[in-house]
Formats: sequence, C-alpha cells, structure tokens
Amino acid sequence: MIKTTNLQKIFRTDEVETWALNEVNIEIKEGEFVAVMGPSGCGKTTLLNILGLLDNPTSGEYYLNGKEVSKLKENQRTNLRKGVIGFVFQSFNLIEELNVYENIELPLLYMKMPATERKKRVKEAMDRMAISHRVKHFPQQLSGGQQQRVAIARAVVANPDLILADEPTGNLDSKNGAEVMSLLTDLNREGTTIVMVTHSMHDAGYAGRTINLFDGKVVPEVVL
Amino acid sequence: MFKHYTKIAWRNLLKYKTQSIISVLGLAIGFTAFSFTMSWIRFERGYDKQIKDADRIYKVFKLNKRNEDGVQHMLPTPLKRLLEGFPEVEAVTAINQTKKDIFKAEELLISNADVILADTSFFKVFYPDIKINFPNDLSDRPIILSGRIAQILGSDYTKTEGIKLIDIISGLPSVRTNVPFDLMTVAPLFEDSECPWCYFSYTMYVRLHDNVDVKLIQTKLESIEVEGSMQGVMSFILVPLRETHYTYPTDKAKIRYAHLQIFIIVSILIILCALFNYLMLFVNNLKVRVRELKLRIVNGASGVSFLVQFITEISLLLLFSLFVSTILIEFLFSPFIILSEIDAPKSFFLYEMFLYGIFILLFSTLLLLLIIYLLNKNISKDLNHSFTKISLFLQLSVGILLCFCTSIFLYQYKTLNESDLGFNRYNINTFMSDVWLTKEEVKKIPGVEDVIFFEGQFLPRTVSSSAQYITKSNEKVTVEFIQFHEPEFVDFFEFEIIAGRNLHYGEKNGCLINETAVKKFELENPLGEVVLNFTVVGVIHDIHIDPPSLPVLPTIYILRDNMQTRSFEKNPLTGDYDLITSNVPSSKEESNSTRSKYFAYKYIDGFKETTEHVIKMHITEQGDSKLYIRNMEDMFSDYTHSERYLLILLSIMTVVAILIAVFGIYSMVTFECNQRRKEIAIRKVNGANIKEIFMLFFRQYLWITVAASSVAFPVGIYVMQRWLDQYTRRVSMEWWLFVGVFVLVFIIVMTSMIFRVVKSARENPAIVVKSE
Repeated sequence: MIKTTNLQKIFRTDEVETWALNEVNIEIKEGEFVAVMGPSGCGKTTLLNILGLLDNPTSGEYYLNGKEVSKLKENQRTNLRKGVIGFVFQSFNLIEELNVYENIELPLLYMKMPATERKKRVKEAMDRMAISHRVKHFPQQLSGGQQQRVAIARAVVANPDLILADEPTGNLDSKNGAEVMSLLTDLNREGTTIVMVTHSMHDAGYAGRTINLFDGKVVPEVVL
Repeated sequence: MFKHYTKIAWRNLLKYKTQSIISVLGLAIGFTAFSFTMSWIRFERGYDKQIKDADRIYKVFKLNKRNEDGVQHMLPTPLKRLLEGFPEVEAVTAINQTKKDIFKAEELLISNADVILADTSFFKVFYPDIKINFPNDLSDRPIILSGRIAQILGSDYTKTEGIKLIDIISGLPSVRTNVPFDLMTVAPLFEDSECPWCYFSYTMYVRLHDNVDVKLIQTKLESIEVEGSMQGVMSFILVPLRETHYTYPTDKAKIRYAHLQIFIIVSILIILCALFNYLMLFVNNLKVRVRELKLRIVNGASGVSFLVQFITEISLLLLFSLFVSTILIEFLFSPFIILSEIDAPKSFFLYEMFLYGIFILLFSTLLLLLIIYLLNKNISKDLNHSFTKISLFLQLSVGILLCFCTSIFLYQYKTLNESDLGFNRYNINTFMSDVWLTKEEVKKIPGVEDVIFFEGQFLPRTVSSSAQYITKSNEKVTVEFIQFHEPEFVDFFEFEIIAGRNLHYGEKNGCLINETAVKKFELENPLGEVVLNFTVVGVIHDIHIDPPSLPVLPTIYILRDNMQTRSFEKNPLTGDYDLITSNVPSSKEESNSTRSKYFAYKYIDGFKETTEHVIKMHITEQGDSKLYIRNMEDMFSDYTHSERYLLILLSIMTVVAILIAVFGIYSMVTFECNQRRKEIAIRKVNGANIKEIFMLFFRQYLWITVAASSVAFPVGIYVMQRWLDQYTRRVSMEWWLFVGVFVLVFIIVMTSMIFRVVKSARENPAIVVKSE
C-alpha cells in the first residue's frame, strides 16, 4: 500500500539546513499495523505527514496504492486524502466550536456526502467508539479519553484504508491509552492499515512491526 | 511613570501600524471635515448677534415660485406703509444695498464699499439706541458714515465732494451682519404714484414689539386686500434676521446651508467609523492586554494602571489625528475660504477648530472608555467577537450608506445636467453689449454657426411676464410668456414641435404652447384654440429652463410684437434700464438688417474662446463699451453647482469610509485567521481545500455585508427620497443601483479578505498542527 524510495525531507532557513528525513525506504502492506519509533527530532512526525499527504518530500518517491504521489500539488493531495486517510493526533485536534457530532461529520462534509448517509455513518462511528451519549457536547466538555475517541471516530467515519496516528496515547492516562490502543487494534483487525508514531514500547507492542528512525534514517527494523 | 505609559502606547501603535495609520487618517479627515463645516455653520449662524433684540427683527420676503429659493428679496414700497399701520410693529425700514467704489477728488479711496440707501427708520429698526438728528429736508440726500470709513476719507471729504454729512457712527459691525454699511445715503422712500405695488426696489425689515407672534403679522398680510396689490398673487413671509443669511442668501452660495448640514452628519459618521476601527483592534487584543494587566499587578501595579495605559494610548492616537488634521486644515484653508466665501480672519477658524479638537478629544475618549468599561465587565471571547462584528457592521453600514447616497447623488446630478431638457444648450453663447450689431455682422465671426436676437428670454432670464388663464372648469392658471423676435428661435434651440407648426414671420396673433399648457388649460385639441388672445398654431415639448427645483409652467411662445410690452426693461447685469427700440422684423431679410445689442449665437465645437475673443475685440474697438458674454451650458450647470461641490466632498468621504471599512475587515480577517489557524489546519487535514476554507469566511462576511446593507439601504432610501423631493425632475431609485452598490461593496470586502484567507489556507497544516 505504501512504498517510499530514497525519501528526503530538508527544512531550510537562511542559516540552517536540517535533514529531517534522509534516504528513507519503507514499504507497508495493506492491513498492516506499523509503529514508527525513534528519539525526539528523528523525523517520525515528518514521515507521518508525508505519508498522510500533508506535506511533500524534498526528493525521492512515494507510492500510495501504487500511485506516485510525491510531487502532487496541494489540491491534488487534498482530493487524494479524502476518504482514504484518517488522522489521529496526540492533542486530539478537535475543533472547539463544533460539537461531537459535527466534529465527526467533518470529513464526510468535505467528501460532499449526502446528509442521510452522513448521519448514518456518524451514528455508526459514535456507537463504535461508545460516545453516542455525548453527541451534543463540545470538546472542552469531554475528558481526554473521550476526546481521543471522538478523534478516532472522526478518523474512521469515512472508512479510510489508512489511519495515521501520531502518538495517540501521548496525552492520556494508562487506562484511556489502553482503550485507544484497543480501538486501533480492532480497526486493524477489520482491515484498516495503521501507521502509528509512538515513543511507547508498550504501545508499539500492539503493532505488527516497528520502523525505527534515527537522525532521519531508517535503522534496521525489528519484527516482533 | 508617564514616560513609561507613553512608551508602551507608542510601541502598541507601532505594533499595529497599518491599522493605526488608517485610524489616524480616518480621524484626521473626519476632524478636518467636521471642523471646517462646523466653523462654517457657526459662522453662518453668528450673523447679527451683536444687534440688540435681534430676535425681534425680521426680513420680509415676497414668495416667488419662479425663483430657486422660492422668494423675492425686493419688495414694493407701499408694503412699508402697510406694515407701519400694524400695532404689533415697532418700526419698518426699506433699504437698498449695493457695493460701490468711493472716490475723493477722483481718487479711488475705497473699492467695494457697502452703501445703503435708506429712509430715516433704518436706525429705529436695527439700532434704536442710536439717536440721529435727521434734517427735515432729505432731498439733497445727506449721508451717514461709519467710523472706519470716515477715518479713511478724512475730515475734509464732505467739503471736497460737496456732500452733506449728518453723522458719523462708530462701533457698528461691518462683518457677519446682514446690514453692513460704510456709507448710508438717507433719502425719502421712492413711491411710484402710477403703479405703487409694481415698483420692486427695496428690501424690508421690521422690528416687532416684544412678545409678538410673527405668524399673526403674516396672517394679517394675507388677509388684507389693497387695490392694485395683487394680493393672493403676492404673499409674504417674515424670516428672523439672524436666519436670513443662510436660509435666503442674497448672493447664491456655492454650497447651500442644507448641504452643509448633510456634510456635518457625514463627517461625524467618518469619525465614528475611524473610532470603531481603532476600538476593534483594541478589543481584539483585549485578552492579551488583560494578561498584561495581570502580569503588571503581579509586579506591583494597581488596577487603575490599565485604564491609565489605555487613556494614554487613546490620547496619543487622537493627538496624532489632530496633528494630521491641523496639517490638512492648513493645507486646505485657502480652497475652503474660496468655497465658503467667508470673509473672516484665519484666527476665527483656528480658534473654532481648536475648540472642536478639544471637544472631539474628550468625546472620543469618553466614548471609548465607556465601551471598554462595558466590555471589561463582561469580558469573554464571544463578547469580543460580537463587538468586532458589530463594529465591522457599523463601518460597513456607513460605507454602504455613503456609497449608495453618492451613487444616487451622482445619478441625479448627471440626469439634471445631461438629460434632454427639451432644448439645445450646447455650444451656445449669449451676449449683450452697448454696441448695435446686425445678425450678419455676428455671423461673420469665425466659428459662429447661427445667430438669433436674444434679450434674455431664458438662461439668463432677464425678461419675464406672466398672466392668468381661466380654464373651462373655472380654474386660474398662471401662464408664462416667452417672447422672441423671429420664428428662427424654434430651430435655433431645437425645440421639438409635437403638433401643428412653427410661427411665421409677422404672425402677430399666433402662438406656440408647451405640453404643460395643454394639460393645465384642459385643451383636448389645442390647435386653433384661442388662449389669452393668441391662436395656438403649434405645441412643443416642455423645456426645462429653470432651476431643477422648479416645475415647468404652462408657457406661451409668441413673437414680441404681439404683446403690449413695457417701454423699459431692467437689465439685471448692469442695473440700468434699457429702452427697447428693436423692431420686430416681418421677414427674414428685414431680420438680417435689424440691429440689436442682444444676441445668442451657436458656435462650432472648439470655437468658444475664438468667438468670444473676436466679439470682445470688436466691442472694445467701439470705445469704452460694456460686454457680457455667457455660456448657456455653464449657466444651466450653475443651477446645480452646490450639488457639484457636495458630490465631490461626498465622494471623498465615501472613499475614506470604504477605506476604513476595508482595513477594518483586513485586520479582523488577520486576527481571525490567526485565531482559527489550528481549525483551518484540522479542516484541511480532514479534507477541506482552499476554496472550502475561503467559503468559511466568505459566508460570514457575506452575512455582515447583507446585514449592513439591510440597514444602510432603508436609511439611504429615506434620506435620498427626502433629498430628491426638492427636484421636479428626479431619478427613481432603480433596482440596479442597489445591486450595483451591494456588488461593489461586496467585491471590495472580498478583495480585502481574499489575500489573507488564502494565505492562511495555504499554510502547511502539518506545521500548524505541530506548532499549536
């Protein structure tokens, strides 16, 4: 599903040139659950952003479902992302002005899905994440665990092929963290490919394999 | 501490320099416009305040619908006698005011001196405390001098010139008075024994007894029947002395008083716009400022310090505005004096403007403090956001209102000046001189296309006659007569004959009438009908020759010989009485050989100056001859010169208001984009593209613009309808004007936000999500 060849990402300012990713070659098959690990600043989030089509690499190739996408323009990336990739962030990133229902509905709105279909999908996602009783609540009225459930519901509501999770348990206590990891594992079992950035060896344990990054380079992967 | 506050205030103004500059400029332009206009209004309202009991003195006007302001200044002398008989009247004076050059032994000592011809009652009306010993015999026209003039003329003036001096009066006002005089000639009232009520040569003022209701006098005047007075046709009004200068000015003002009042409201709106613009910036940053306050309190400051800091900031902004305003005032002072025609020293305006500056400074500070206090009491993000929207709404409302009013104004102005008036006024000059010329001689001038005799039938109207026609249904209709020498006037002015034919040479009993006459006279088949002894041979379209506030009257066009005319006619340009000696030609050949001193000629495009130059040369060759050349198009556009000036000023203010609103929107969008940066990124992550992000803002600003329009348009309709009502030919407020203004403002709004929103929408969401 995902294949990168000599992927490079360089951040340049007037004075400094930072190599965030250096010759990264990875391949992730459909239905895999992959954890990306490494110390802070090693390029994990940068890799995740490129895989999620939020950013373009400086050089190299990136194949998503067999299509070369590394040089797409922003609009093309946005269109390709819709309904295909879901995101889960450490800080949940819910929109404060929208309630639970509206937050989950967001990706479907941009897919121009009819209202009745949207309503059905949102209800399913909420039921699945056990947050139906909070439908009218706003993010600030929810606990961290509930907010992350809403974020996962939003990520899965469009039935994406790929979920990219950036330290999804980073802001949660162990109980809520375990619940989130359980939800991600369930999704993976149902066939969704998951790429998760984490610092936690425990969380990485839920993944099928781990990609280790160090100074922007992939170091030998460990198959558990 | 003051230094610290000033420093922080200065830094804050610099931090948001674009918005600060816009606020300063907006306020400065508002201040300048407000100061000039208020000074002007106060100047106008300050006339004759030095005169004791001025509220008991009234100027008497004759109502005259043919005049633009609806009144006539000159009155018949018997009216004075009539008024003197009313017990409510303390004194009446009839005066004749002119400007003359005063010579002493053929040396010009004073030019344009104010000279009054008055009877002995002048002082009883205006200065009852001044007692003058008038001689019994006034036949040799003795004079009274003002102290200032007496000093210039010297004590031997009267001896040198053989003039009888009654007195010298010092201390009387010479400016801002309706009755300034340097020299007064005292003479008995001229009374025409043959037609006393026909002789209009004096302006009249009355002093009423204390506590007299002026309406009582007017009612009495209307009810009295005097033989030969044309009572009913002749109605009078009494206007308080102190109001006469701006309600019915003797000389036509460049900008009418009513237009000044409109402009003062516009100035205040601009000031409010600029204040709200600044306040919006302030409120948007209120949360940050509250944190700053808390930090200050932690470091030992009191709660008052925030207020002091704010006052310092506001004061600094307002002082900058006043400084810029002072530069603008200095820069615009000369054009203002030319425009206002105010004869007052610069110090008068500087003093007035200083007072307004202080007033605006205090008013603005208090207004802003009040708003900040209210917001501070209920500080919340929602409230700040609402205030920002309300502020933008107000700015946009003013912008749309001014834009709409200016559009209607422009549309009406264009219509008045460019619409079909029923006659051709382009490339036509009229002239009068002391020299008798034939049409052939005028025609020979290079660039002259066509010539007719023209004695001021209209534009300029120097001759006027009217009569009453009684219709079949017994209604009295006032009829206007326009008399020409020859039938060529129809072709010359391109009148359109819609029925019948033109008059022939020598057709003494025939006439043309206009469409209004056909309607008012209730004539179904006007051709062949006899109207006031003239047989209608043709009907022409209405021609609009009067000021746009006057309706077209039923008019009869005849050849001059057909009327029993007076032997003398007053020439308003020279003040002389010209003997009408021209013969009405009975054929074209005779017409060509007839001599006249009055002509209208049509010139070839681009030959205006050439023809005028040649005529001037020709007339000058004849010796010390007078020549008055007028252009018909200029004279017509002169009717709307006040509108022209107001249109220019309004356009400037509209641009300023729109500019303030644009920067208000830009700063609000900038602020909002910063506030919603993360939301935009999350939406993008979830599939929103740039267009969809833009639509988020688009909807919001569309609604603000719609809301502002829904307030501005009804207000605009109300204001402009009232304004348009003064014109007899007026435009209707077409749907496309509303759509046009809305679309224009909306495009401006969109343009001012699109750049900022797109910039935010283009930000890499990965970076934003990570950084927030």
